[in-house]
Amino acid sequence: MNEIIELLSFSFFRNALIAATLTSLIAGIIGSYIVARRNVFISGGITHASFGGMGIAYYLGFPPFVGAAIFAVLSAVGIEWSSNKAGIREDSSIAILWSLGMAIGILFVFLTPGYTPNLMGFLFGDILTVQMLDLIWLAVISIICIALLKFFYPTVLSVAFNSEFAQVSGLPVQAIKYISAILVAMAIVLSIKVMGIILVLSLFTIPASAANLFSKDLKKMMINSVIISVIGSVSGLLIAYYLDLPSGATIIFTLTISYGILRVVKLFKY
Amino acid sequence: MKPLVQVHNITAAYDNNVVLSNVNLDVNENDFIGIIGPNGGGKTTLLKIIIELLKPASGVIKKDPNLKIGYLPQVNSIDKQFPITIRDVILSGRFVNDKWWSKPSKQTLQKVDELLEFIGLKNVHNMPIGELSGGQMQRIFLCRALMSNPNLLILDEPNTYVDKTFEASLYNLLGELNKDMAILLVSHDVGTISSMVKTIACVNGGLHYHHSNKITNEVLQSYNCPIELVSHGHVPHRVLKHHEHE
Repeated sequence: MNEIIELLSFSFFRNALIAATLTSLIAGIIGSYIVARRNVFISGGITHASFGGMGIAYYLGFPPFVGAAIFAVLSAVGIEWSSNKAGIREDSSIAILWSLGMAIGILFVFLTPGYTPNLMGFLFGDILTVQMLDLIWLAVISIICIALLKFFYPTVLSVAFNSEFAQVSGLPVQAIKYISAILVAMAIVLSIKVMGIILVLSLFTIPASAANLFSKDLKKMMINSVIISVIGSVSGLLIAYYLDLPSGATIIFTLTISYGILRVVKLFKY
Repeated sequence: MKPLVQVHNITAAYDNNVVLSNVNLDVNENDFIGIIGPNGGGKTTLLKIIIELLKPASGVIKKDPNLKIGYLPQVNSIDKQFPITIRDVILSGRFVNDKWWSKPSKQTLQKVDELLEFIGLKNVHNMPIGELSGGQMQRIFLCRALMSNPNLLILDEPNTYVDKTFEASLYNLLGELNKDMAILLVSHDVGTISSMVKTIACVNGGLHYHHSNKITNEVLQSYNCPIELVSHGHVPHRVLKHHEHE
């Protein structure tokens, strides 16, 4: 216990804890939305497409996360648009964006002269280097998510459940779809700092799927998913620190183990 | 009789593939129209044009300014595993009347109770829809369509995944509802539909309207396709139109 208190006196560790908690909060909420709508694959596409923006940002010398955010938002909006308007099959457009993003990223990182700092951090996460600015961004997106759900949950739920019916009822379905696509993209990009491009998808799916074992109501699923995700990430972070392991990968292990435990609990309970 | 919807000379196509051509249909107050036709004949396309999910290639649709549509989509277009409670499913029907940012009023919540009572399901408010049988689910979607007090109820294949007992009770409910609203019902099952509806429209590329619910030879001919007739006996049998020399 004393050791933990001592750890908390380091600002890098405090920042890491806050980042893990806020990321889990966002991932719990947005992840439930993604899992409920069966859109996990879309999130994978957005995540990997963002690597293209990161590569270009490296090459041109501006902050990699700005590049990633631009690519993520554009690909999220692009997938939504292409399946609505251009009549391209959604899984195909996702697969194209997924690999195209990675290809652009690899090319530009290759073309960037000299050493590319922190590239591994972006691929696998680097929670101990989280800055104040990252925390502010995470807090802003958390507040936006919670506020939107506080005020518009019934509308969001109706559109997510049956968008065709919602459109016939006169709800602004397209606007809601695009806004949620942008939010999903921003949530994913901000979580990359903690989890890394390769691993971020699991933070959005494992806690939500675990929550879905017991909650068949989106709101409850979101709340339970946040709880599972915060517990899993914080304990994963502590284990990673003590055993000197990569934090992102360790967090995935703690989350998967908690999913397994809940699965077994469900088996015996029902 | 006041016309609620007037479909005038509608043509619809997907990528130059014409699905409907020169379709005319008036839906008046208190109508109960059964739309029948083979799969791919354009039944659902016609519905989607009426509810404005699709734009016709040409033609006009006139709607009464007071028209309020209650819509029951094909059940297989809905994700049955979606984490949502029955209460929330039914409540989502309120947005026809309510503003999109509004919270449900007390009367609206009470209306949910009344509708559940009407369809004969009790104490199911917090149950997830995934736990319902096909017939129960159809009834819940009927409640959602009725949430807004519509004057036109549009049902797309409401007898899918539904057993015959429930189908009968569904048609009883519809008969009762028809006292207060017009009903437009799409079905591929001609046998059952004809006993309930007042008039029949056959959709197969074009539309043929029949001012009665009798499936006559003329109906079958314009239908121009083998159809399933389910009888009250043991054997469902297939009725084809007569050959010309018979």
